[in-house]
Amino acid sequence: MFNTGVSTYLCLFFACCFCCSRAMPTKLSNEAVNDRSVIGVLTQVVTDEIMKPFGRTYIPSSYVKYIESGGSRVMPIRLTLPTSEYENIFRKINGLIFIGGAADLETSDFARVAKIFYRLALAANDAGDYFPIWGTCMGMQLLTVLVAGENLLTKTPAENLALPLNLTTEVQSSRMFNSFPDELINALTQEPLTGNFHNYGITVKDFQENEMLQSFFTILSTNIAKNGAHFVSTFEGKRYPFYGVQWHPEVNRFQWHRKANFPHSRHAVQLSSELAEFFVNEARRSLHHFDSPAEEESSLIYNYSPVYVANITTYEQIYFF
Amino acid sequence: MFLLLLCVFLSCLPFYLSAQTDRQNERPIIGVLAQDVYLPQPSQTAYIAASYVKFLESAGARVVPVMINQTLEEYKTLFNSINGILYPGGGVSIVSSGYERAAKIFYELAIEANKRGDYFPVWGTCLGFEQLMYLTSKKTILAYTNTSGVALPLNFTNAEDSRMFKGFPAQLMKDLASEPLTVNSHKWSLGMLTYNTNEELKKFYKVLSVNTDGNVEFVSTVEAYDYPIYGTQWHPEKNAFEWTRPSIPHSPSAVKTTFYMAEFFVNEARKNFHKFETEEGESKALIYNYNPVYTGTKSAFEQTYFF
Repeated sequence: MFNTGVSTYLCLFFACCFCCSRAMPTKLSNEAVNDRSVIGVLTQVVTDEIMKPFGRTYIPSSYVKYIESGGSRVMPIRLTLPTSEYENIFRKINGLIFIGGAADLETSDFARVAKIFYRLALAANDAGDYFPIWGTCMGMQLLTVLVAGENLLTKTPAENLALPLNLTTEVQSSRMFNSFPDELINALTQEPLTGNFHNYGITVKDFQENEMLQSFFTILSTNIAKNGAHFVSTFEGKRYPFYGVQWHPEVNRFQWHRKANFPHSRHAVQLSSELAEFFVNEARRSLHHFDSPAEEESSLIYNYSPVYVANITTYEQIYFF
Repeated sequence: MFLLLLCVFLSCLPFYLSAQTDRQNERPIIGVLAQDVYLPQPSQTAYIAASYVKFLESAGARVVPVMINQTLEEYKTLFNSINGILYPGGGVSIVSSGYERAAKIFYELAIEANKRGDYFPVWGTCLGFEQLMYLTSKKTILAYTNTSGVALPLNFTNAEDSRMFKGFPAQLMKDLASEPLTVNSHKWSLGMLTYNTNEELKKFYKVLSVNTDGNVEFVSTVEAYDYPIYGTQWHPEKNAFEWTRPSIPHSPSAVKTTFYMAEFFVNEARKNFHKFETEEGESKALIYNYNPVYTGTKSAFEQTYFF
């Protein structure tokens, strides 16, 4: 049997390990896994004139279908709530997505609310409370602003352009692509499976020259824009479960506008599905939950109906709030 | 002379199994059959559970609801516009109902089209599977099974080289065979005894998996030998999209099951090149024109489309 002295010493030793370590576990723990996750999606500010009559904020249904297809459910999060309410919501959801759009990355309501969640997520992960965040397109750009503390974006025009990815060597040991079949990884480098709809981005040079970004994220892929700029297209957090894609994985399966270059090949569908499942699997590691089934039910996006907007936008359906 | 005849014969073989796999329809649209509501009300006479729609959308297809009680002409026009059809689960009569009538029309159109080399796939889930068995054999001899709310692994029978499963990852096949990943939500089943003694069924369908409730061994997955017609007594769509019953599995393998089953069927639909006559006609037919009702607090379906 241990005497009091030794056990005290051991307790202190382990306490030090937990407090000092900011690294997150690299292996999925065999403890309880949450198979009933709910992922939050911040509503996005409407900037497109044609959408303004419908509401001030929106979420395209393609993001909702993307998350649901990965085996999760969606809670829409408004931009007009008090901070205490966001803290409350944070404790109940298992992950968060920053969607694409055109809001100001420093002054908009979207950016302000995203920052609240970002800080909550940093603190939670530091405390061993796993909480993943995914940023698509502008959502990814927002993550760079949050991490770097400044807007480092420059012109990297890639509007309506389907591209393969130039994968970095870090992909092999990445979490994001870890369970991708080899055939799909190959296809990703050779076929135009990623839809790009952006004019701005973060160049590889700016990324690498910024101490904060360089130490926070690992670049997993890059691409060349129409003006020759070499930009970061996919990254993942080194020590935090934060992920970003400059391109749109959700369009491959859920958007069909004829004039848009949305990839719809079999590989494009598989890519979209694998990534959706990947992020939902990240959310399984969060044990947050609602206080009651009734509270959960009333929070889900099932309570809302999207509008069929395919004849006036490049989306099929949009939820307006 | 004989060799010449043989060459001519071989070149005329139905193309269905050698459908042009290099040329694909990347914008497949699949019909989902509606069925009668049990206690109909104004503007709620038929329904489709949203999970079937999400199932197909998740594998890169769009969906058109196929209404019941339309005319034969309307169904023929629709058949020639879509790339496949799915018969969902439910509780209506497979012998006489709006669902059965439409199912029979599409089944016969599909058989005829496939014979002509116009590849048209049909999928039946649960009641839809039983409907296919009835349409093919013209008999209903279903056995009672105690399988109302239980997830089971599959006992595969010659499934590895089946069209349905040959593209599945090896690990997923192992998981399907050993973990309870398939949701059974039925009181009636096609017993293996019945299948084995029914000539029509035996020559039309290959059994890919069987299950048992402890008493009766029943057929759980089939694919037709000579047609792109498929059926499961279990519910692949529930794992990812229905959260209303504790017996529904939601593990990563369960979610992959939903995707790979849907992907297989959508890829079958990619071999069909039917399309709507006009873009406007297509837009008007798609299920985006409808919104499902949130029914998860009071039914087995999270969301339901009513018509």
